[in-house]
Amino acid sequence: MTTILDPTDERVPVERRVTPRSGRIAGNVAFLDISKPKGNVLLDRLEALLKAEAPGIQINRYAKPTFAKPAPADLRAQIARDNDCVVEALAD
Amino acid sequence: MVIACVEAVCTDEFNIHGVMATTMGASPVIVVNGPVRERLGMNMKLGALGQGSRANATIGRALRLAIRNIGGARPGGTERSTLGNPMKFTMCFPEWEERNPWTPLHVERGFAAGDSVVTAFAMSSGPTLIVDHDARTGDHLAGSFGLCLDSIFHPRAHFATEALLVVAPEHVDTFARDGYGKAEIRARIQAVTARSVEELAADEVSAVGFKPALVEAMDEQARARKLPKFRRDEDIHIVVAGAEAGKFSGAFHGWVTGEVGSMPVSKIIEEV
Repeated sequence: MTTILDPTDERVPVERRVTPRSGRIAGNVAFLDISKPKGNVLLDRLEALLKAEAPGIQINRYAKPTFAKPAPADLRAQIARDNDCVVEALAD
Repeated sequence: MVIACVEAVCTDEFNIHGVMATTMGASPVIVVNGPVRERLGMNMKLGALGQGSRANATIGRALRLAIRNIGGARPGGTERSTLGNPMKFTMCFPEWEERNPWTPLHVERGFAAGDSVVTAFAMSSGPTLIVDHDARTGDHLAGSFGLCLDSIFHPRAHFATEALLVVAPEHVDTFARDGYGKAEIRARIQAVTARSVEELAADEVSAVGFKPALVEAMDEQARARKLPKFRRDEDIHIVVAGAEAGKFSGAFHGWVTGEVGSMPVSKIIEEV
């Protein structure tokens, strides 16, 4: 049987799976500010809350050069190398 | 033609990933210049920005399908517009260079008049109409352009984006009679949209704008500083298209502009 694929069909949106969660927060946590307005305000607050909840963790802060483009490959590699998990936060 | 369009958008300057991924709902808008317009039977006159021209429609549509099926910009994937916009189906038109008393777009951008060139713009809205039947001078007409463009994003969003103006022939004639060129149009738009920092502050009408605490902390000179709508005059792009009848010009509204967002990119169409 021949299956015809419609290259224009956008009726069903793509669904993205959430990365499996470890169930605990430990080690090094990257905070990636995507450089939208007030992103730092959101991450500052999250950092304070997280440090109170999990005092043993190390939070490392990073920022994208611009929210409008993907994070540079070097930055992604650095975050992956030096951290156990990432909080990527936007704002506006 | 479609290859040149793909080459234009697949540059770091144009940043097609960001243009597709933004929740704002931006889209490439392709302007075609040069002899290829006639060879392909493109429509640059009556209804140039609308339906009815196979060449205009299919070039833009082919680009969109390449972005979607090769690049992966599917809704819910890297296509994440809040509302979307109809330009995401197709938005491609040629400039009516022969009706343009000024320099056509591709020559302004460094190409020879005889080159066939596509220029990709990242636009979030449009075409919106600028209606002015009353202007008899360049000052008045460009003043109307400025007033209409001031609403891009939000009337208090200055220095935020760029615009692509499609000037219709009757409006072209009004400008030409008054010796108005592109530089004069741009300067007038910037002049009539200039607002002081104080005027651009958030207030009881709208929370958008400079935050009152920030403005209060400024000295008088800083508060009175006037900001035109666009960061640079060059952020106002001007082309000519449309029917001979009708004092209706069009404006496409930009997205995040400059190196942090998307910049217009032109590519020459190689003969095969």
